[in-house]
Amino acid sequence: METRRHPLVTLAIYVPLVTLALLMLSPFAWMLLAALMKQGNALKFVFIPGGDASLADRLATLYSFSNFEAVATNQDFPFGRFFFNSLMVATSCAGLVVLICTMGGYAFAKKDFPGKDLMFRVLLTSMLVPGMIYMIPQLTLVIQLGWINSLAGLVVPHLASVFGLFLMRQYIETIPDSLFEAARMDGANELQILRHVVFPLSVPVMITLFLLTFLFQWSNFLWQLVVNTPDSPLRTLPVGLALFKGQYSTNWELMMAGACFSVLPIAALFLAAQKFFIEGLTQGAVKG
Amino acid sequence: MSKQGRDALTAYLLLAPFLLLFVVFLGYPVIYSGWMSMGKVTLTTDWYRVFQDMSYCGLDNYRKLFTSDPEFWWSLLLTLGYAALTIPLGIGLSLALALLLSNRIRAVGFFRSAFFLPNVLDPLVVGVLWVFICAPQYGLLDLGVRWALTASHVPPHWLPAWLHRVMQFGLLGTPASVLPTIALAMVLKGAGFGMILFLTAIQNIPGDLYEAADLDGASAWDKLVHITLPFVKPIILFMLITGVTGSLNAFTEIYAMTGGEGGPATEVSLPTAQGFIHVAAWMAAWVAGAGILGLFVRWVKELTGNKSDLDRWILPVTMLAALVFAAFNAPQVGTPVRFTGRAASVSGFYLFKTFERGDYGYAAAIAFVLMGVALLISALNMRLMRQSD
Repeated sequence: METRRHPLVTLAIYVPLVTLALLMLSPFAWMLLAALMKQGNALKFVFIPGGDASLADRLATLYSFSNFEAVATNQDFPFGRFFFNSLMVATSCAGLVVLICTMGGYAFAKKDFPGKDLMFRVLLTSMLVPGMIYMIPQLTLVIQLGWINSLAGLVVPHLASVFGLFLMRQYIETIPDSLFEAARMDGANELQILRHVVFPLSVPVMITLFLLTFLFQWSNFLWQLVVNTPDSPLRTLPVGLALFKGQYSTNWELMMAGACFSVLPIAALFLAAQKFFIEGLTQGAVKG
Repeated sequence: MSKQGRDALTAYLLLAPFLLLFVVFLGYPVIYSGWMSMGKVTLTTDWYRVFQDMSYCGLDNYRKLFTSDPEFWWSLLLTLGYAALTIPLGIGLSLALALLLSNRIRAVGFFRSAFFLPNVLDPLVVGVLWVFICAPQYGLLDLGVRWALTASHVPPHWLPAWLHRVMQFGLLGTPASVLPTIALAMVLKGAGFGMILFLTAIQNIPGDLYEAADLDGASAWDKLVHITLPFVKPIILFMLITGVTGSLNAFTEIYAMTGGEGGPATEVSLPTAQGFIHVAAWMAAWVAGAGILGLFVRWVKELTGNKSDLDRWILPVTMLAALVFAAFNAPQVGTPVRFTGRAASVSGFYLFKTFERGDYGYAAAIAFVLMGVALLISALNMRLMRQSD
């Protein structure tokens, strides 16, 4: 049924959409531009300098990558290093979470074992506990294990992701049992079933879980702040940015360049993998 | 071994890494936290012998929390305000965006990504960006306002005093506007997430329902309230509950936008515990009295057969009027507690501060109290939602 929509209605839909989109996106566009401006220029609000020279020349007087360079190699706040640390933490955590939760999800989805129900309920309840309660004892544990300022301390406490477990369980449940039967009849043992049936078929949701965990660990400010001492070589981006802001609080161009280190990779990752992000959310929240 | 036995063994093996990590890093900490909340654990405690060193003091921490920590109650009040701002606005904006995007428009994908993108970014970075925008004297907002003022040639002495104050200290530097600004920033950031959830739910609504409604001559508003809303209710409930837990735990955004300080200092005066109970009892008495009066009026109306459609509003309106009246005329009991608090120190942030100064046992107690509050409110929410179904 095709109905012609009144042009006013169309306007009433597009105007708020465009305004809101501008409202939400312009701070970031601004951040990017400010990061590219030579120092001292961000607050003049001149985007295209006037004058007689060619456009390329005029733009070159205002914009350069110098801020990024300065921030990446800064002695006290090496954002290049921060970026690498964040990348390491987020990737290793996400990778391990996917591995562990896929195995566990397979067990919950396709296997029966004593205590299954109880375990399920306990895990479900644990999702209601706020993060702060874990923080202090986890910190004690990490200190006792000697994991302060180490990759293990940053990554390991977050590996038991109940959300990840349930996500994988939900997905693996939809894999037809017949595939498993066929594999077993062919004489496959459990390890082979995992490798040839579970993993290949779960790739989409594994990617989603990887991305979601990656994202969470990239911006997990509180834990990274607490587990690293201020001079740790393993400082990550959010912590680095916060400390940087404390010292360079008036040099906006540098700060925006630092912020870009965190924002640009995530934005790029998101744009490239939107489908997985969005699907993962709806799977986890609407059904869960 | 039987097939079942083998199955169970494999299951345990598969689950082993997860369970091990869970028990060590999630299960044990909760219990340990509970134990810690009953002791005095401080920075000077030897971490390798925590159990021996911790001086057991029973429910002391909890008692101190409830009776002699006005800063905690102030943080709860602020959290209430923060939640009251972020939750309705967040749900409203998400729903509005979803409704807008569920029409036939071009570039749906672009808009969806554009709205969801801020959600994906680091709260710290977003916070720093907003600090930049709201900075006094050279922030974007300030420049915009000053340009508007000069362009409209409004003489400075026409402007209200508070505007001058805000322009001098910035939105994040004036006590009254700090929390609303942070709330707005978070709503804008988080709207995309709710929008996606609502979109999915709306897309699942069968189209024939709308067609049938059209045939019956329903208006757009009717269709919204009677078709869309019921389908969308579970999402609203979900966002309510996550909103409440989110507000109680809010920390990173406050830290980012107030430079780790929790907002500009402000003079706070709160009633003492007895004062509070007294005022609460006073207000309860008034509301109860109004309730009885309302019930009486309704009974009389029924007897005399003088019924009208508005009858069901009698009770709520009288009780609400009594509540407002009582609130404004509450007697002052005892001298209020005065102290200098921070204008954006919500409970999550306050918890961090306690933690930062090394008072770990006390911090654990606070965490459990907050969890209790969160569970209570979530349970209430679910009860309310289920009733109206």
